[in-house]
This record gives sequence, C-alpha cells and structure tokens, in this order.
Amino acid sequence: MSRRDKRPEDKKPAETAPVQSTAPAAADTAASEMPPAPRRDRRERKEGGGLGALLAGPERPYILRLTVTLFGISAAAALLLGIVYYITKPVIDWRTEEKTKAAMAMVLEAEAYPKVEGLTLPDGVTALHAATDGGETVGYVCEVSSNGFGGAMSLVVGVGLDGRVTGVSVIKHSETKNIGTKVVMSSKVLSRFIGLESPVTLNGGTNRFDGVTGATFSSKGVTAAVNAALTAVDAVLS
Amino acid sequence: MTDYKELKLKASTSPHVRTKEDAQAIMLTVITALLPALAFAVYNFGLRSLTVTLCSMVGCVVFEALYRLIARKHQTVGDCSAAVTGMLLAFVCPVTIPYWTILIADFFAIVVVKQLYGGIGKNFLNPALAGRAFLFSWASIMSHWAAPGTKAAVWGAVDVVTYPTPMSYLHANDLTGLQAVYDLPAMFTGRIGGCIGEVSSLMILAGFVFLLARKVILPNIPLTYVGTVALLTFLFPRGNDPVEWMLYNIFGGGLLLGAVFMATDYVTSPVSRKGQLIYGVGCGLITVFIRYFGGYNEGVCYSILLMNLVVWLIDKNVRPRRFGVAKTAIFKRKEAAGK
Amino acid sequence: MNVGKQIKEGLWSQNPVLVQLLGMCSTLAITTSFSNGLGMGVSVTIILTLSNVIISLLRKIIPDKIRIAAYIVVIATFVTMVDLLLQAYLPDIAESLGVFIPLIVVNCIILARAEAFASKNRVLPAAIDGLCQGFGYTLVLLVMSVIREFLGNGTFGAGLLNGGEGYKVFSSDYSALMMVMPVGGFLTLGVLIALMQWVQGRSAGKGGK
Repeated sequence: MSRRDKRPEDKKPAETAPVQSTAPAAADTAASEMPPAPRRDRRERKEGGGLGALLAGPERPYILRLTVTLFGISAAAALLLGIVYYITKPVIDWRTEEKTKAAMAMVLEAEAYPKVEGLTLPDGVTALHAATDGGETVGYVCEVSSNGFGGAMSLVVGVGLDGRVTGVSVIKHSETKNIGTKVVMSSKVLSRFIGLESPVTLNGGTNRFDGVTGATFSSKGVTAAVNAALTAVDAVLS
Repeated sequence: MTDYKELKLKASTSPHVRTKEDAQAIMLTVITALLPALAFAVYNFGLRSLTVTLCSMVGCVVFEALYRLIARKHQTVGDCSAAVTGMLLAFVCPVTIPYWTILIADFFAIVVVKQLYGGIGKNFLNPALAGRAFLFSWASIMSHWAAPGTKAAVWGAVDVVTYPTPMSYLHANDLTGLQAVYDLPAMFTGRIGGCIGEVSSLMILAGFVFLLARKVILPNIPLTYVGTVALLTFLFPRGNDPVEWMLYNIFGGGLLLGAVFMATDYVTSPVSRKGQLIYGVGCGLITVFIRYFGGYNEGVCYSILLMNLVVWLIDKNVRPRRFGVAKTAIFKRKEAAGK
Repeated sequence: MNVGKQIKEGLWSQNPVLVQLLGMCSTLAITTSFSNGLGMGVSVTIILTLSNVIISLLRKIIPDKIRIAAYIVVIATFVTMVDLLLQAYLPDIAESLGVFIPLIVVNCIILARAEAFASKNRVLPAAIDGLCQGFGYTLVLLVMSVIREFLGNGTFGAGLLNGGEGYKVFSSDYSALMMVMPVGGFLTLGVLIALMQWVQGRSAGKGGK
C-alpha cells in the first residue's frame, strides 16, 4: 500500500495509442527512493498548503532533487543542441539560398537576385527581387503565392524590363496528381505565359493563357499569381 | 363442443402474418424500375452501356458469392441486392469506363463496404455510391464522358472525344453556355452527356412512378431531397433566371437518380417518416453547398454518403410513433409531465 | 539478455506497429514512397536506440514523478539533432518527410519503449531493444510503402532507385491515386494488421475465428 505512489496515476504518455507494457524485464525496478506516500498525500490535502508546505517540510530534499535532475538533463540537452545547431546552421542557410537562386535562375537567368525593399506589394506577392547582371538590373523576379485546387501554392515569376513574362516556375503545390499537375508541373504549359504582359486573361482574348481543361482551379491560381507579379513589377518600372 | 384435436393448431413465434414480398421481390422491382433508364442509355451511348452494366452486375454477384464462400457463410446472392448494387454503380459511371475499373469498384462496394460489415442490412454506407467514391481515384478515367449519340465501342480502346456535361457548366455558373449546348427538353429527355444512368430524367421519373405504384419506396425522401435543391437553387440563382436555373439544376447531374434510387435505400436511410424528411433536406442542403461552393462538379454522391453517416443520429432522436398508442394518450402524458 | 528473443519480438511477435499498434500516425502518413519509408524508419531507429541508451544510463537518477518530462526532453533533443542534421546533409529526405520529423517526438514507440524497457534495464539490453523495435517498425514501413507506391503510382523504389524516379511498372494513368492518399494508408494498414492477427492466431495453436 505504501507503494501507492510508485507507478502513479496513469501510464498514458501524451498520446492516443494504447501502450502495452511488454517488457521482459530482466532486472527489477531500481525503485526510486520515495517518501512514504499515503501520509504525505493526506497531509497535503489537510493543509492545502501546496508548494509552500512542501518546501518547508521534510520532503524538501526530494523536491530539490526533482528540480535539480530535470534542470541537469535540460541543461545537457540544451548544450548538445546548441553545438549541433552551430555546426549545421551555415550549411542549412547555404542550402536555402542555393534553392531560391536555382528557382529564380529557371525563370530569369542572372548573376544575383538582391531583394528590393520598401515596396508595398500587391496581394499574393511575397517578395520582389531585382535580377542583376554585373550590377545592372536586367529584370525582376517575384515570389508569389496563390490558391490552387488543393490549397496554397508558391511560384516564382520572372518579368523582363519590358513588363513581359520571362518564365514561370512552381515551387510548392498541393494539386491533384494527373489533373492539377498537368498545369503546375508541366514546363510546357507554364511556358505559355512567356511574352505575355499584364493583365493576362484565362482562355479568352489576345493576351491570354490557355488553361488545361479539367484543371480550372489550378489554371486560375497560376494566372492570378502571374498577374499579381506583373502588377508588382509594373509598379516598380513606372 | 369444439373438437380441439382436429383444429390442427400450429405453435410458432411471431410473425404470424406474412406477405409474399421478400428482399428478392423488392430488388427485382427496383431492377425493373431501372430498365427504362438502361434502354435510353443504350439509345444514347450505344451498346457499351449495356455491356458495362451487365459486367458490373455479374461482377458484384460473383464477388458476393465468392466472399460468402471463402468466409464460410450462407449464400445471399439470391436476394439480388448485389445485382442492384452492380446496376446502380454502372449507372453512375461514364460509358467509357474500362471493364477492369468497374470490376475494382464492384469489389470495393460489395466486399469492403457491404460484406465486411456483415452483409445486407448491416452496411452503413450506400455500397454503389461508396464504390463510385472509390473510383475518384482514377480521376482521369472517370472524367472521360462521351457526347450524346456517340456509339462507344464495346471492346478495345474507347476513343471518344471528351464532351462537357451539364454539371461542368453549372458548377462554373455558366448558364448561357449550357443553354447553347443543351436546351431544357434535351435535359429532360436525356440527350446529354454524362453518366450512363443519370442522363434521362424522363426515364428515371418513370421508374419513380413505378416504384411508388408498387409501394417499394415512399415519396418522402425523393420529394424532400429534390424539393430542397429546387427551393435553394430558386432562391439563390447565382445571378441567373431563377426558374431556368432551378430546372437545369434538377435535371442536370445525378440528382434524380440519386434521390429516387440511392437515397431511398432501406438500409442506409432513416426508419421513421419524419426522419426521412430530415434526411432528404440534409441531402439537398449538402448537394447545393457542394455544387455552389465545393471543388467537385457533382454533389449528389458525397451528400448522400455524408447523410448516411448521420442516419444513426436521426434514427436515435426521431422515433416512429409506437403502433397502437393513441395520439391523445401521448398528449395527456406530455401534459402531465409538463405540469 | 536474450538477443534472439528480442529480435524475434521486435520484428514479429511484438511488432510495434502491427501488434502493439504504436506509431501508426507516421506509418499512415509517410508510406507513400520507398525512400520516405526508409528514411523515416532509419531516423526512428536511430533516435529510439540513442534515447533508450541515455534513458537507461539515467534510469537510477531520474525520479519517478518527473520521468515523463525527462524522457520527453531526452527524446526531443535527439529528434531536433536528427532534424538539423537531415536538413543540412540530406535535404531531399528532410523535405519529403517534412513535418513528420519533429513529430517523432510524440511517436508512441519511443516513449513506450522508454517507459516499458529502457527505464528498467541496463544499457546494452536497452540499446538492442531499441534496434530491434526500430527494425520492426522500419520493416512495416517498407512493406506498406512498397504496396502503396506500387498500387498508387505504378512505380517501385521512388526516391531511391532509377535516379529518383523509381522503376515504372505500369503507367500512372491506371494507378489507384487513392492509395497514396490517407484512404490508402488506412486500407493497407488495416489489411496488414488483419493478416498479422490471422497468422499469429493460427500459430498460437488452432485459435480459430
């Protein structure tokens, strides 16, 4: 009975799946040193003093032990994590940069893509970069996000100095395979945007993008993104 | 004095009064009610509609027989419910569907949705619609609709140009475009593109009348379902002429087929009449929501499936009045309780 | 310490996914391609073994009252380490596994083995237990990945073989797209668990139906 506190209230970890204790425990539990349980609980309830009462009473070394142990483990963990983070951070940052650069190079080839700050960008455009070759701006690249059939997708749109699209590339999407992907994953379909200027219409008019039948939402999403990018760049060019 | 020994009394448990009608009779009536739609499908899409339907029916029956055999249970194919499932499943597929695809849907509908849960009477989803929902996996195959009047090849590669269905126009709120392609009389008779059994509203209504006359279904669910859709599309015509919009919505898509044949399935619809009214309204609401705000063109399939999931709740709360209890007795009891 | 017994248990009779029914969330979500399944399985095995070792080393020190908190700190540390290392040196796997790497922290298997075994046994048995259970988990992931990818994509070995594309067995026009969606995960896992129960029931001696 004094072991009432031993493996306390519930064995459930913070999880939904049931845990079956299957341990073919060769070694018996090295029972943790614990004060006699019932007496302590009863006193807690009677006094209702809580932490203050505990710290004042004879269980004080136990509480301290809990605190110190947890602190020690957390400190060791933090130290270890700090070291790993310090080692990997430059590598991760380099990779992210390379990825963005590669995506931008697909739509508009240039040496560098410095970000243009201080602009009020239209809805959907997350960032505007100037594409520079040897210091001179040869065009602009926009990171845009819009809504397709399966949710948000992020694209990169390159616009030349004449205000015309140089390329469109989809970086992240959740479109349905074989339907929406016919638009967002097909460089042939996306290349239909090249040379168009603001505003691009879907399926009609002279300055149009011919969508893919059956993938209306995806086509609409990509068109909206391209139009947002063109608006943003037009604002900069004027 | 009566000679009791000559009375030939039989001792047995209830029921003591039986009708000749059993599950098989009901299912055969349903199949008969579906035959006009099938005939029109053959007229509209060619002989392949017949072969696909037959393939589906045979597939369902075979799968059910095999499952009962392997699971060592008694055979139930005699009650023809598998045949009806097969027929309805074929009716909600485009005529260009390959035979292997419809067989996979048959397998899912019969074995997974119906038999694994205990067989007839124990499934909680409409097997035909669940099979159709499973087919959304092959989205490109399932969007390959033929134009009305084309004769799709029975064997080999089916090479037809994909033709738009009324639902694709309705979903995009393009009533004028739709009216240019199909006019209302065509929508009603069924010279339109779409799935095998859903195109001809006229034939489905004929089947509906037949089922009503044979007292196989009650008009509760179909009338409330179609009525709700009609009311909602009339009140919110999305900028079009209300009456035209409402009529196109009623005749377009699988609404009539679903309301008459799928939603009225005994197993997966509520027991009480009031419950059935609620069920019909719910189906109508969800159908209109999907058609207006959802990503899919057609809302009937999923609306019925969703309402199937809620039927237990409706049944729990809407109990039919007990046989033999007079209405005044209930009223007096309620009064007494209220005091 | 019976290594043979632990191996048999980890892979078969006490398989974490199919028998103990632990860690099913990641099993359902990850198994859409061969490389995903393999990457996740290896990550979980590594983390499981390391955390088992540490927790076994500390088992006499950690008081009973705060053991869950302590275990979580240890596990989370290793998970974060593995996450950072994957992002830095194996970015493709990190991207396809996505948010499920941090979710390894609450993977039942790790916490359950810590509670049931590592906190009650010495270091070496705990380490072997971690490896065996991890292998069992990885095995199930691989089986499910192969099935789901084959039926859902028509390929085999996507992400790893054939330059990342996998060997195309049949065109993806005929594949059941649903198999690589959550529906397929549930269906496959259900069938596998049923099979496992059936086989184990038979070998347990004419258990019958």
